[in-house]
Amino acid sequence: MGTGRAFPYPCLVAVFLLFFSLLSCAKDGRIDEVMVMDDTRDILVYARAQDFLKEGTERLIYAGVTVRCTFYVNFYQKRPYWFDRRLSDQVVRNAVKYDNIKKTIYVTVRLDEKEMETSEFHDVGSAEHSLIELSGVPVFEVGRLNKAENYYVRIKAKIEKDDHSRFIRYIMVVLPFMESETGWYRKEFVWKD
Amino acid sequence: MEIREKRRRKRERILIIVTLLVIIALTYVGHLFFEKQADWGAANNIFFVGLLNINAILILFLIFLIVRNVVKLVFERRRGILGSKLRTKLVTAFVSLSLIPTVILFFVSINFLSNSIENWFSVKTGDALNKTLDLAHIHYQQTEEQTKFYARQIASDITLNQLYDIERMDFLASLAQLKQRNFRLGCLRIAFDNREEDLVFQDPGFPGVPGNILTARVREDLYAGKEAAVVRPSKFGDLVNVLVPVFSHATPHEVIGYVLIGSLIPQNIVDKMAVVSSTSEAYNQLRLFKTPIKLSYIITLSIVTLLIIFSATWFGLFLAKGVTEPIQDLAEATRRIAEGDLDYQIDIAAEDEIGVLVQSFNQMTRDLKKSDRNLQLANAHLVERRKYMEAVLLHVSAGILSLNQAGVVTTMNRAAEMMLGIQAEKVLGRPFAEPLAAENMSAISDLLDTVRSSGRGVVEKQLELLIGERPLTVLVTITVIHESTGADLGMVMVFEDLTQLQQMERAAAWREVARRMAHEIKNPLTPVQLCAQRLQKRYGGNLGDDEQVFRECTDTIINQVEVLKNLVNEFSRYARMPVTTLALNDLNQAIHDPILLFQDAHKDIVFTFTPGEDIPPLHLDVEQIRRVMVNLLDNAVAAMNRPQGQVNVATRHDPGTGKVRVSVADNGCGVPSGHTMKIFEPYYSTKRSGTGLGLAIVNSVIADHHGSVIVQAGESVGTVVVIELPVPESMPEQENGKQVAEVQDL
Repeated sequence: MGTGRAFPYPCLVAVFLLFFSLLSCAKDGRIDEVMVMDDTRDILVYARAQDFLKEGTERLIYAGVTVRCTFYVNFYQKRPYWFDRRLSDQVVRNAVKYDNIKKTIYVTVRLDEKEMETSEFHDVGSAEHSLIELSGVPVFEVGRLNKAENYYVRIKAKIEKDDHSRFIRYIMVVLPFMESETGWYRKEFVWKD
Repeated sequence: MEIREKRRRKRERILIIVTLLVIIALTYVGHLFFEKQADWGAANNIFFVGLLNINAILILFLIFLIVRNVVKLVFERRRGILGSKLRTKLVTAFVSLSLIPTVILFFVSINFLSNSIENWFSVKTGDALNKTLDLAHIHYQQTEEQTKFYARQIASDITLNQLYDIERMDFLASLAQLKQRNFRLGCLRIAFDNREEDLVFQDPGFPGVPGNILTARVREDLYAGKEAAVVRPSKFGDLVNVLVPVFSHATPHEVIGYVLIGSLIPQNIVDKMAVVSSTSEAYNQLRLFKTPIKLSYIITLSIVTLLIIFSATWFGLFLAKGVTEPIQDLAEATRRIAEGDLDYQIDIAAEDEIGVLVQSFNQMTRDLKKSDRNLQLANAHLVERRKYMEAVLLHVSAGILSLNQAGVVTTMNRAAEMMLGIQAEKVLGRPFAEPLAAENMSAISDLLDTVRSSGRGVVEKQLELLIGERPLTVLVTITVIHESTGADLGMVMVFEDLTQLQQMERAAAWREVARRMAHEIKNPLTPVQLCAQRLQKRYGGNLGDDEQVFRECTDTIINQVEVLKNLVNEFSRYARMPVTTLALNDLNQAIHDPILLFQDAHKDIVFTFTPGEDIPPLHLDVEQIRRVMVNLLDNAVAAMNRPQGQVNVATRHDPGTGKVRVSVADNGCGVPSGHTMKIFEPYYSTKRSGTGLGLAIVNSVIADHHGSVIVQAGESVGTVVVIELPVPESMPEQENGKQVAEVQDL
């Protein structure tokens, strides 16, 4: 019995690790309706995350769990023969919170931790629609752009639950699989002003 | 193999302990992470998932290792490996002891947990919370509705009385102030599209209307003719802001402004309602996560249960191994020691009873080894002594023979072999009586009976034995051997060959007799002969007719005296045997000359001589040997009683015995049976005219040459006389070869 070859324990461990890592890194949802515009002062980005919210999000919202949708918006200048230059990176955090006394759903938009807007909704569908929407986020000043240069915007969205909930820790085992994240979406343009 | 297996098991043991520790450590880290980390980012999630995964993998790994051990144990039991049964019993006992309470506790805990969780969500609690929440909501709604009612009344008064006209602005201000006071409104603001400034009336303690109420959406609703309500928190409580559109009197659907009334819900009420709200939220979340929470509890309990069971199993395996391994080692050690490996030591360092047992076993092995070494030394000593005794027995001239109680020969030395003419290997282990001739055995049996009956323990007697054709005179001494306790161990028989000594003694005696007889007889013979001759001379011619008788008588006297003289001379010669002078000489040459003489003298007899080719030079007195040959050939010729007489002489070297044999064979009348013992005695002769000294002289000469003479009957007729002469032991090979060559040249 002792003469046989040793069992490949490290291989077994590696296979398990790979399997669970792949599970935890699953991607879903997509960024859609991306528009890059300007208001003569800033470059504004509009976008919407599609097929993104998981089943049961509505129940979570009505249970008082704050559901967040975070948009990561990076603005790059394209450079031939060299690495692209990142001009700005913004984090927009949309959060939906239900007030069970007023029966109102509040959607708060924060740009780089600064509150920009709070909207009130009485139906969860409108609130969800607003949650996954990126509406005219200024990413760079127009005056600093060079004419006929190539630029692009990279956007990614991620849904997270409020971890401050006192009971959420009990379901941490399944929590990562309830969250979702899109891949990076890229929109290029040439500045022609 | 053994060492490899032990190392592998040790490695596995360490692996299990490390795995357990890592699981505990990771679980603790995970717990800390839960408690301390509030903000769960993506990286933290991955870290947490990683932790969970590693824990799961480690638990699986632990299960695998333990199951593997259990399976191995089952196989060992099937193969009947020593200690496996005991180990199985111990493991089963441990697993049973831990499994039964753990499983019972597990199911009780799960049941208790499920019931408890179900009780959390009892209908009464949920209803109470919902009703309380509804009350709070109704309070807000009522505040809003009441405020809207006031706002509607003011907006209606403005429209009906067209107070939006600039000319009636004073009336509007009076009305607004009156209404604000009468209705106890916290804040009243009236705004028109055609006016830049709004009319604002508010209580002194009112915090003021926040600026961000009139959002685009509210404004849109307002100018669509809809009422709006916006609740905003403030430091004094929640502000319920109601906006009601003001329509134009002339165009009733045209919104020309709005009335905003802000009502304050005090902070103490808001706080109470917030408590209700958060409790309700918590309740709802708890209800939402009821199944995952229950599942997480079950998973945790299952992991703990599995850990306990597998820990107990492993501990059982470990403990069982601790008990059975020393037993296996002891069994292996016993086997090795039984096979004779007394250097084997059990290598177990333990402080418990097993350790004492192992130490005792090792000590026993060491003692055994010591005893074995002593035994070997004693045995070697005994063997050495035995060899020495055998060497002594081998070289002692006396024949020694030992018998056990049953009369079976146990020892026999070479001298005894030669003396008794039997080979030791044919005698050893057999009864003593078997190899000896019946006539010899009867004499020895008498002695044995004597020694047994006398009770003296020692008997000594001279016996005349006939070994084959060879007479043997031996002094037999039989000694009974006793152990120190007195037990009979058998007998020792010592044979001393007295044949030669006796012959020499006899020869010496006969020589003395011959010398005296010659002296005593010879002296009177000469006067007798002289007297007879004188009588013949003096009276021979004077007696007449009696002269012839007288002459015949005196002649007879003279002749007989002459015969007597010759006889006496023979006696004298025998008595005066010359001293034998031994020197290295060629035997064949010494023998060859007498044969030639006899061949010339006796033409009617055929003499043949077959000399041995490898006869080494011997210590010989050539003259004496010739005398021996003359006597033997004379006897052979005298024994011829047929016309074709034949005498064959041959020499032969026997390297095995270290002797040279000379045989003289004739086809004469032979020696009568029963005379072979006496023919070497002086004055014994079968011939009428013989003196009886020939073979006595032969025997005497050969004895002086340290040889022996045997007389045997011929194959069909006649006699064969065999002389055995010893070959010098220190004869160099080269010299030997040279001598042989010289002999062949002759």
